[in-house]
Amino acid sequence: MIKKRDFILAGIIIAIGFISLICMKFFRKPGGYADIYVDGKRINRLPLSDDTTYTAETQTGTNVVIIENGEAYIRDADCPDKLCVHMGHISKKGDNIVCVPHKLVIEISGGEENEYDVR
Amino acid sequence: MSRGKKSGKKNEYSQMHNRRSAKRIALLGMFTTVALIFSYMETLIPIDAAIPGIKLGLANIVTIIVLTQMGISDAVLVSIARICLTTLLFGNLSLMIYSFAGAALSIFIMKIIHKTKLFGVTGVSICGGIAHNIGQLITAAMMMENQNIMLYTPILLISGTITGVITGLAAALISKSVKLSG
Repeated sequence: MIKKRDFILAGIIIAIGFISLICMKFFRKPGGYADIYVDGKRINRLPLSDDTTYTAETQTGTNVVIIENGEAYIRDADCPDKLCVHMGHISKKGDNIVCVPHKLVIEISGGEENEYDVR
Repeated sequence: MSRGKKSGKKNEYSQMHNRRSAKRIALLGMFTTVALIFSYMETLIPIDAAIPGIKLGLANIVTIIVLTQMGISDAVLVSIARICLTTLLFGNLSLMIYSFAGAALSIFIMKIIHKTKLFGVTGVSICGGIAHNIGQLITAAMMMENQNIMLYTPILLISGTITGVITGLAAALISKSVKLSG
């Protein structure tokens, strides 16, 4: 029932995971803004350079977004699982924090202002 | 199971029991209960990970045993019953679609991997765990209309493999001593 191949498979997949993680760490640029999306629409753009506290109101609840030392994180939310609070700090371009129950996404975007938006 | 007669490659279980046999119904009920208890146990073990979607997937032990010993249709039935019941009992209705997406992709991939006979139960479980995570990620990307969520794929690959090994070993050990065909 347990084959040696199973563990080789496990090793290969974990290796692929780590390699892509390392690649992602190296090729990511620091971002300039924290964009807040609710239900796919951008409702606010906060510059990472200014320390602020922003309370995002959604139809299903609120999330308290903190910008501090060039990083963004969610300090508090009234969703049941609080996963977004545990997702930690983000600062690199493309990083995001997702709050599934509130359909809220915080995403770091690049510093260039004329970045085209396909959404 | 339902198409067991046409496929020709019937396993011992489906040869002895037709679709409506009391034994099948009893087994499905029992497995649903066990899966439900596993899901409940999982809510008691908080894995305080930084990434959502990482969980042990204990219920997958049941899915693997049903899939490998009873067939894909029974595995689908048990999963549907488990997801509906867990949603009703301690779930969140908006998260139900994620459970369904993960379970559907996971069962589909596990069936294919099991059919190739390349890997043992643990390998099937690893692929199922990863497929479950990927299915949920794709659902999240569609629901949030945000493709950057797919950046979590590497982390979920790793976590899916680790949890897949754990549940797979458990499923393999259980399958060794529990034979449904008897």
